[in-house]
Order: sequence, then C-alpha cells, then structure tokens
Amino acid sequence: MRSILTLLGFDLGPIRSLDSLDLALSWGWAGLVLTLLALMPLSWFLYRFEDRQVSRRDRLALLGLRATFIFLVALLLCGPVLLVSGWVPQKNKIAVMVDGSRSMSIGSEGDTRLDRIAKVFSQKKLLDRLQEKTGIMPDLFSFAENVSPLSLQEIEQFNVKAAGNQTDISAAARNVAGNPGDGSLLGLVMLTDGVSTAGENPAIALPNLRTPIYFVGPGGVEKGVDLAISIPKPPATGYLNSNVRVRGEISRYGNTADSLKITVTRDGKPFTEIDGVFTGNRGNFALNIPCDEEGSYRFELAIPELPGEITSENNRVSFLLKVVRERLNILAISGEPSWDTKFILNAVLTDPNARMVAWTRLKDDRWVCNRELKPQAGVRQPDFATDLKDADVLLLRGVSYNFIRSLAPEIVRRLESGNLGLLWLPGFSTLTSLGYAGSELESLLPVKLDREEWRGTPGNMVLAGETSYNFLKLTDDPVENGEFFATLPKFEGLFEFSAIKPGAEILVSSTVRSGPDPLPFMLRSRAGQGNVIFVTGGPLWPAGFRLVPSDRGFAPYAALMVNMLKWLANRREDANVSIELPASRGYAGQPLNVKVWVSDARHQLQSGAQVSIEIENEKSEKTSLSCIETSEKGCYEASLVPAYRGLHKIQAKARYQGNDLGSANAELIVEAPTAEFENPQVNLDLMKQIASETAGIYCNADDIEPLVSAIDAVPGQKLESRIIDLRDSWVLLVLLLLLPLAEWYWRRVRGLS
Amino acid sequence: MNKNNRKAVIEPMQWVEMTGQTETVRFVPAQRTPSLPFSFCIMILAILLLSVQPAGAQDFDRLVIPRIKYGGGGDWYVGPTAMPNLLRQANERLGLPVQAENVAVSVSDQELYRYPMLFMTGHGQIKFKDQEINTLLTWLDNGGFLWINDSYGMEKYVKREIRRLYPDIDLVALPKDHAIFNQLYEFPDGLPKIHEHDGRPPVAYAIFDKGRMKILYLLESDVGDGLEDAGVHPADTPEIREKAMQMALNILIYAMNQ
Repeated sequence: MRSILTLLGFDLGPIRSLDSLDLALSWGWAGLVLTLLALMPLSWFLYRFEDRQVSRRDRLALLGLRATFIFLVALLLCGPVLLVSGWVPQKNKIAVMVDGSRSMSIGSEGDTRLDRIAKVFSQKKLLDRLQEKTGIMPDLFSFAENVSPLSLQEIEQFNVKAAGNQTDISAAARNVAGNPGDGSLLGLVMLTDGVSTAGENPAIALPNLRTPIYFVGPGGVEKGVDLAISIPKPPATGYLNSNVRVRGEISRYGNTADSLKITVTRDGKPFTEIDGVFTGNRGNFALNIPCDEEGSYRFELAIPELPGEITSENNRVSFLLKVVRERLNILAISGEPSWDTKFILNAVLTDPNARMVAWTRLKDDRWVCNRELKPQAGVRQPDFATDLKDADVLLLRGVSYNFIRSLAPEIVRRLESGNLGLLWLPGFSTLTSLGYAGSELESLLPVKLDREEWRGTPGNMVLAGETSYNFLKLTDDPVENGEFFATLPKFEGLFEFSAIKPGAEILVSSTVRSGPDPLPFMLRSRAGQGNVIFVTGGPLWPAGFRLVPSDRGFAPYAALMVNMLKWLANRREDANVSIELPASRGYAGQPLNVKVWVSDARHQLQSGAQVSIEIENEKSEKTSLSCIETSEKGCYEASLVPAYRGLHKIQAKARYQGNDLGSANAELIVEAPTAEFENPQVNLDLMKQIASETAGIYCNADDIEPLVSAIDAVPGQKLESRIIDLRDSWVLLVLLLLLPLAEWYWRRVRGLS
Repeated sequence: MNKNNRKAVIEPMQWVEMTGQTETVRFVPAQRTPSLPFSFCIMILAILLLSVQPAGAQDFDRLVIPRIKYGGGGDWYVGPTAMPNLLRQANERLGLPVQAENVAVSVSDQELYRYPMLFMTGHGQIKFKDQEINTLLTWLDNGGFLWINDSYGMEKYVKREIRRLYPDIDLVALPKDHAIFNQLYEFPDGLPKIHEHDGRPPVAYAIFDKGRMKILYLLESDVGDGLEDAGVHPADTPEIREKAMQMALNILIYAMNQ
C-alpha cells in the first residue's frame, strides 16, 4: 500500500509501514451530500435541452460520465484528505543515573553505599551487559539536587563524589525522561539508596512517568549507628522578660538507647541540659529560654557522639536568638463601644511592656478615651494624631473614614516604612458605608470592596496545616494547635468580599461555606515593610472571656493577641535601611535570598537606590554582593550562597544619587545541611514501589542480572500520522480532465454533438 | 416600691420559661396580634427598607444585659422592663445592636459566660452558694462587670457577699469627678438621686481589682427603677427617668471601655 501511495505521488515521510488509512473531508460528509444536491438539479436542467432521439445505451453512458464528473467535482470542493498512520523506527536509549548525594557516603570506611554502587561499574560490568542486551551504550548521569551528564571516562574511573546536600529523585527522573532527545527511552536505571530529601514525593510523582524505572540499591548490610538532632523552625526573636519556646526533634538509627542528654550552650558557655526521650526511633523535646537580657545570642544544642557513627554532622544544631526590649504601644480607634475592643485591650495589658490607648466614638461629637484600662471623661474632639505618633500598632474597628481621613497619609507612610502595624476588626457597618471604598486606606486592605456582604452564619476558625506564623502557634503540636482554633467559641458571622487582592494571604480560614473555597476569617496583606491583619468576622471576645485564664494555666487568647500585635509592630533598628532574612539560619551551599528595604530621610520607600551587601564569615573572609531592585517598591534582593559553616555578619549599605542613605546589620548562622542524614536507612520500600508501578524492577548492586533480563530490547518505533490533501494529487486532476473529454468523444462518435 | 406596684408591672407580661440546658427566663411583653393585612404591609416595608441598605452586620454581637437570678429570698425579678429599656436606648443613642429582652441567668448557669455584663437588683436578702462565689469570681477575673442596683434593703447583704468575693479589697466610694459620671453624659454632682429611700445621699461604690472596676454598687439612688416603663413609678417624672437612663448609659459605656 505504501508503494502504491508513493507511486500516486503522495509523500509519506519517515513512515515505513502503514497502520491505518482513512479518507476524510474538510467539510464533512454532509457537505458532500449538500454539494451533490446542489449540482444534480443543474445537470438535470441541462439535459432537458437534449432534443434528439438518443438510444437507451447512449443515455446511460452519458449519464454515467456526467454523474461521475459531478461527483468528482463535489468531492474536490469538499476538501478530501487521506489520514495515514504508520510506524516510524526509533533509536533506543537507556539512561543510567548515579546518586551523588551525601547519604551515599553512609557506611563504614571503604564500604560506603557509593563504594558498593561503584562495583557495579567495575570492568564496565553493568554497561557491557546492557550493551550486549540492547545494542545501546547507555547515557550516563549523576544526580543529587540537580542532574549532570557523566562521561564514560568518569564512570570508568568512577569519579562520582557523595557531595550533594539534598536529593530530588522526582526531578532527576523527570528531567532525564522528559528530554530523551532523538530517540526512545527504554528505561531509567537509577543507582541510589532511595533517600529523597527535596522536591515532590517520588511515590506520588513518578508512577505517572511512562518510562520504566529500574532501581539498583547499594545492598550489603549496614552496621552503622546514628543519632541526630534538629530544630525545624528555630526562633529568631525573643522579647525581654518573656520566654521563648524552642521545639526540636531527635532521631536514632541502629542505636538502642532510649534517651539521651541534650547539652545547650549559649555563646559557647553551658546554659542548660535537657533530656530527650525516644518514642520508637524519634523523639520530641522542648526548650524554654528565658529572655532576661537584651542582645544577640548563639545557642547550640548538642547530643553525644557514638563510636562508629555514620555522621557526626547532625549531632549538633545551632540558632541565633535576638532578645529585644519590647515596647508595644497600641492605639485603638473604634466607631462604637464593643466587647471585642475591651477584651483585646485587656488581653494586651497582661503583658507588662504593653501600653494602650483606646478612643471610642459615642456620638459624632462625643468621644471617650481609655488609657491603660482607665476610661477618661468624654470629650468633644478626639486627639488621635498625638497618640498615633507613639503607636506601634493601630487597631481600627467600625470607625468612619471621615474621622481618620487626616491621619491616612501618616498611617500609610508609617506602615510602608515598617514602623506601624494595622489590625482591622469588623464592626457593625460595612467598610463601604464607613467611607473606605476609594479611600487612601483601601489600598492597605487584603480584600476588594466591590462587594461586601454580611454572612450571619455561625462558624469556626480553621487553621489548616502547620502555620509559619508564630503568633498562630499556641501549642507545640501542629495538630493540637489546629484543633485548638477549631474548638474556639463559634463566631456569629463574617463579611464576604468579592475577591482577595493579589499578594494577600489567608491566615485563618472558616467553616462558613465549606468545600474547596471556604470564606476566610483572618487575612494578611503587606504594605511596604508593614503588615496588615484583617479579620472578617466575629465576635472574638467570647474566646477571651471563656478561655482567659483556662484550666491549663495558659492564656491562649491573650497569647494570640499579644503575639499577633507584637508581630504587627514589626520594629526595625534602622529607620532607612533594614535587612530581611527568610530565617536566622542558612545552610552551606544552599542559596538564601536576602532582602534589603530602603527608605529615604522622610521614611518614604526609595526606588532606584544602589544597594550592596557585605558578608563576613568566621574566618574574616568578606564577600560583596550587589542587590537587584524587586517589583516591591523600596525592596532590593540578593542571593547569597554561604560556603562555610558558622556565624556570618551581614551589612547592607544603600546609596541614592551619590548620597548615603544608611546601613543595616544582621547575623546569620550557617550550618551544614543534615537533611541527607535525617532518615539514614536505605529506602527499599520506595524503590520497590516505584519500580513496580512503572514496570521496572528493583535489584541489589551485587546482582544486576535480573535488571538486564527485564529491560526490553525490542527496537523502538513510534506511531506517526500524516494528512495528505487529495487535491494535490495528479491522478484526480487527470480524471477531472478525462471525463469531459470522454463525453465529448462519445457524443462525437454517436453523432450527438 | 411596694408589692402592689410590682404586681402591676408583672401582670401584663408573659412569663417564658426557657427549657433545656439553661434556666434562663425571659419576660416578653404581651401584645395584641396585628391583623394580617397590617402585618403583610409591615413585612413588605421592612423588605424594601432592608434591600436598599448595604449588607451590614446588624445582628452581629447583639448586646444583652441579663439580671442575676440569686438565692436568699430577695426579689431578683423586680423591674423587668429596666434592661430592655436601657438596651433600646443603647441602640437608639449609641447605634449598638441589642437584644432588648429581659433575660435572667443563674450564676451556676453554663450560659453565664455568654454575658460580659450582669445586672443585679431587688429588695432584701441575697445569698450566693460557695460554688457560686467561685464561679462569679472567675467570671469577674475573666473580664466580667457586675452592676448592682440597690432598690431598697440590699446593702447589708450586698456588702456581705462582696466581702466573700473580695475579702481583701474594700468598696471604694466613687468621687463626683470620676470618669463614670462623664462618659456620654455629664453628672457634675456625681450619682443622681432617682428614688428617695431613707433620705441618705446616693453613693456609687466600686470594687477595683488589678486596675479594673469589676463591681459597681449603686446605693440610695435606684437608677434601675428609673429605667422602667413610664407609669410604673408614678412619682418618676420624665426628667428623672431621663436622668436615670443617662446614668445607666454611662455605666454601660464605662463597662465596655475598661
């Protein structure tokens, strides 16, 4: 068939054997019928002028010729195409990938996981066997965080080091399988221990891959032991005269001790000792640090080192804690008396460092001020401006925009420069009716005011997952913390808005309108360096009234309010330049984004400044980086990749049009990444599961024959389709010319023309 | 206030007993059932009015001030229209959403913590059980505010019960220039005299604990009686009743602000 089609002038490209052949019309078959229906009456009309006596034979012949011609014309008008599917031969490929992450260094000297894997390649054993079976020389790669190609020489000399700080098996497999080049990938052979410490969970990500994955594990018996300590989220700031709670984890591997001593040092001096108890192979511990003196402290937590331990790098963990003298001045402006304001302010005053002023409107010409829980006599005109100067956090509730219109520029300016936080609570009126739509303060809201509707449906707060905001963590355990929010007294309803603005974040959701899109209860937006928390519903006070103090001797409502307001206060040391680090701890070899916020002498965020940062490590080596301006006004960013462990001092300097705008200092503790050693066991289950789900197999390094047998060596081919337009065919053109000629000839010889 | 007067107040009310977990009782004014066309017109009018207003939270956090249903034999139920009238005025003059009903609650009631402000009034004996004293103390420590209105003859018992609550804290007589007399309305002479009892001057006593006023005890003033419906106390002129309402609103605002 292929030869016939080629003979007829159709180009089938690389298709070697046909799988299917279909005729189709661009207008569809209905188009052909309609075209025929249009053409047939025309030809019938022309026949009516045939006035001579024609024999039946001639009539039939002429009719046949004419009908064929008309059908052919109608067919060509409808755009006939041939759909040809066929097989195209493919070049086969096999990829062999070697895990070069640090977990491959686990094992005793001379018999690490990587050493055992290396034996697979000695005397080209694996590669030769694969080539014998398939006739293909495999493509070679090493992988850890990224994938790198390896040359045959590198494999022959086994020049692969277990140096990668993390392993992303999913990304590595996808990367190689997704870029097979000009060929068909018979399979991925991954030589790894199955420890994946970054990216997507391979058990979920890889079964969808259409390429078989063959795993080769290091095999052997590992006799190593390991103890590890980690603090997933170390604290960065503590407040004077308060306590900071640090939560961490310990884990063990091949060790039988049920508990261990954790030694805590502060700036190198003994601080305390705590007990860590294992439940299974893991254990949690909590450390309470009293912040009784201002300053920056380096805490280090260490656990004992065992003889023959797989690695000692995960036996200590450190973090920096900055203790600051807090000064939490709150200004509350309410459009009407409310229990919410009263209970929040009562909660705040449980903190001895907090100062509070609350102005409440009674009538338009009657306001009452409350200072430190002492209501003053009513006055005609409130004086917010003086109190705003000292405020770290502004609390707005149900107050008409008219009353604070004159303060709006100052509120926005101070928020953007990071000197003020804003807590916005719902009142009895909509923000639109209070005049905020189109106002200067509307831009601070995390929601759009196009539609604002009260939903009087009682509901509960929903804190999904583990929040990254410390003020929302009222208990150590994330699950218990989520349950705590869920069991707070129900709120009576909330305001629903048309949309959440881009960049805004939902901190606490709700059970109102359950399903995939529940209504948010607490949102956060950012204005420059400042933060806004917007609560959509309430009342909140029942949580404070019923829970403070509780039987647990802990005041969760007060803690939530005080910590949230402290977070909002967002105090910065330098008015013009400030450094924002994603965490006070980084890892050697891993990039860290450093943000620098710059404002001018009037505390307006400054664009177009030249910002540089200088990093000094413990060896007094200095590195300079230039910052790039981000899309956020006044925000500049640089990516830092620390090379060494230890304390790093960071100084940021900003200049604008030749003038110094100021500088800021920060500290960063850099540690060796220990993620590779958190689960030191070879993950056999994961490898077997993925191999089974992708039609591959798992085998040990000491016996690769099952793998070689399982690889499919059938020459590759792929199905390809082509569309051939029959109007380009010379056969049809010839037919189209021949039919009228035949009719003419017939008429001529029969004497009919 | 004599017994006949009190009876005259209670008779036109329907007594509604709330069943279930709570022992809350409510007095709902007896009303004539409106005719059907009239109700329909009112309903249509209400729908039209609501539809033109922006969607707000009119029912959000409605203010209720229940009275304490105490033991000891005193008439805790006296003056059933006082709090509904105060709440209606709080709604009219301050724009607060209210639930203008006469609600009563026992100290031992689980529902106590739904209300951050309580009203206590009556004539004569008051007695709290030991467990109720503990509950009341926790309620006050958590942020509650108790307003005691001495209608007559409560002084001895109120002071005794307050002493049981706060054995180490003395009642303080509020001076004339205290902020509570200068909130929404100004009372330059301090607590107004609404009802004459024994010819003594009116006094506002308070218990302050941790910087906050927790209990306010009004003696020889009877602001509570002045809040009742017109005609309940024929001697109360509109001016006197307005004075009582103003003082009560000042107390409410003060309680919500500290």
